Amino acid sequence: MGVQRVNAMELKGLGHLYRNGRGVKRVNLQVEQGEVFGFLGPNAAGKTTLIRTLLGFLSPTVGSATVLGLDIVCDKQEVLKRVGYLASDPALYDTLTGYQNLDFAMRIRGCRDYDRLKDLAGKLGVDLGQRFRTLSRGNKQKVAILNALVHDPDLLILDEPTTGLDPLVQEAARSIILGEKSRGKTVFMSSHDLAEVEAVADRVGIIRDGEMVAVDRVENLRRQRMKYVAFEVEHDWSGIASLPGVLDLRQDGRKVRFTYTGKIPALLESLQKWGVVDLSINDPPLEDVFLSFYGQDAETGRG
Amino acid sequence: MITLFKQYFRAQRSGLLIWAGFNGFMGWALAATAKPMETASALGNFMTRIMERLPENLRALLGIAPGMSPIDNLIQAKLGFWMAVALPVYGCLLAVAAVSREIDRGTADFLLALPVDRKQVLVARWEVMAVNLAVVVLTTWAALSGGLVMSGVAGNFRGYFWMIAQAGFVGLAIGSLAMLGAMWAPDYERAMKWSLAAVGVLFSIDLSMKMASMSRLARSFNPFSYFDTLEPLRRSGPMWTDAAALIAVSLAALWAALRVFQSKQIEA
Repeated sequence: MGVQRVNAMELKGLGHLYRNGRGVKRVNLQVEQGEVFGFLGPNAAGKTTLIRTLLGFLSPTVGSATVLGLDIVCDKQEVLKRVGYLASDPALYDTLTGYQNLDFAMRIRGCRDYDRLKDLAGKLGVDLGQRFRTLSRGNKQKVAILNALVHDPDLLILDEPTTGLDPLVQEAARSIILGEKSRGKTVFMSSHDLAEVEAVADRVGIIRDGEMVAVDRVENLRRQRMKYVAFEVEHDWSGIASLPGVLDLRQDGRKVRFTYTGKIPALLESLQKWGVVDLSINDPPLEDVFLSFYGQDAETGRG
Repeated sequence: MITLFKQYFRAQRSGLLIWAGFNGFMGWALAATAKPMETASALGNFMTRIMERLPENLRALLGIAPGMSPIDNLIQAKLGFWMAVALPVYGCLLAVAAVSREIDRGTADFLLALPVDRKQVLVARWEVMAVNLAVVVLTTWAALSGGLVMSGVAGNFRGYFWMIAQAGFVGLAIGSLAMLGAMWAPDYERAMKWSLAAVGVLFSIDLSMKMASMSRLARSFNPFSYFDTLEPLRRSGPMWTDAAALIAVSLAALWAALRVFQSKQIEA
């Protein structure tokens, strides 16, 4: 008889409501070990509140949760030993150097793997000898990433890990997340950047107004992903309606707008025929994507 | 706990250097001007005779307290009253920084995401406040004493020490109360304003009540009532009862702050 593997995270109706009634309401969610879970939602949807509740910064006002099989309230210290956390706007002690900050955190965690610290610092290319306040935004983020990783945690909780970072640091962060995944670690990351989550996540969940409205695999998301297309034509464009994947077609003079869920090369090939003089293809807002394929289910939370 | 203490002490090092350096300079500068006072007569002019009719505490503030040598009068009036305000202000700065600033700046997230008990975090910060206040007390006293010795002035060194130390105990008590108050402050800026305003108001109330010759019992709610610039100089020793009361207030405020902090919601 095999040993049952505990979920990395199991939320049973977990919520934290602020006095103004906002917050997170009764979230049910399971994240398997070794999975990268993308946690999506617009600003103020409740992503950070849920993460802060999981880490014990906020007390649950309803429900319960386990992290790596440990209760987030009763076994908080044990949970924190096995979790690496990266805040969306990480702040370490300004007057201390990066090394002094990390050395302090390692001592508290009882971690002595300074070789790993050196190795990770080398990979990220960060100078730990400088005071934290003198570091650029990107380098501060790198030190915070090291802090989340250096004790080799079983679960990484990343709150908008690449927000405001330059593409190089974003890429470094992504490669680290994928590296941890390949080592069997679990990653739970929040973001409002769909592309970022798509690049690394196995499954995604979307939260809106404090409620988890949808959870699905990234493949399903990709399959149904759409674009907003707008173009201006010189000739008759009526044939566009017959192109597979064209939805919600609207015309305003010579300008045409529609939602497109098909292949981009096929669209471009068709557009050439109609003498397009101007064209824009944009990603829709994240919520539109989700609402488009979860429809009414998303509205009611049954997705 | 030692790791938490060392880390926070290190983080507060710059502030400590500024406060210890400034107050040390104050002590040294005062000592440098003390020599002429040895030969001055406190009752040597008409104005002084008029001021003799004032309440003792106001005369202490003006440096003409009865039964004091001119040098002791100078030091209690200038340094004693300065330290009675400066050390509570420093205590408040440290206490509010330990709670509200950490939450505002986000370092609380870094700290509380570590496997550490919140109680240990707060106790370590309280200890850093106590040690920093002690360092400023010692630095100021050492600079004052050194300055007096270098000037060849025979001073009441034990009395000066206990006078400054008593201000340190007041600083600890008010800092501890500020730490408790900061638990409910919505942000760092307001926590700082409120605590500094409280220092000013409490100091003024106690001074006014003393001038009105109100009883010690009536003033006992106020931590400043446990500070006296004259008594440690007259005794050349500590005011143990008052020091014990201030330490008890500090520990009680710490205990209450620990209870509140344990369940405090750390919002983003």
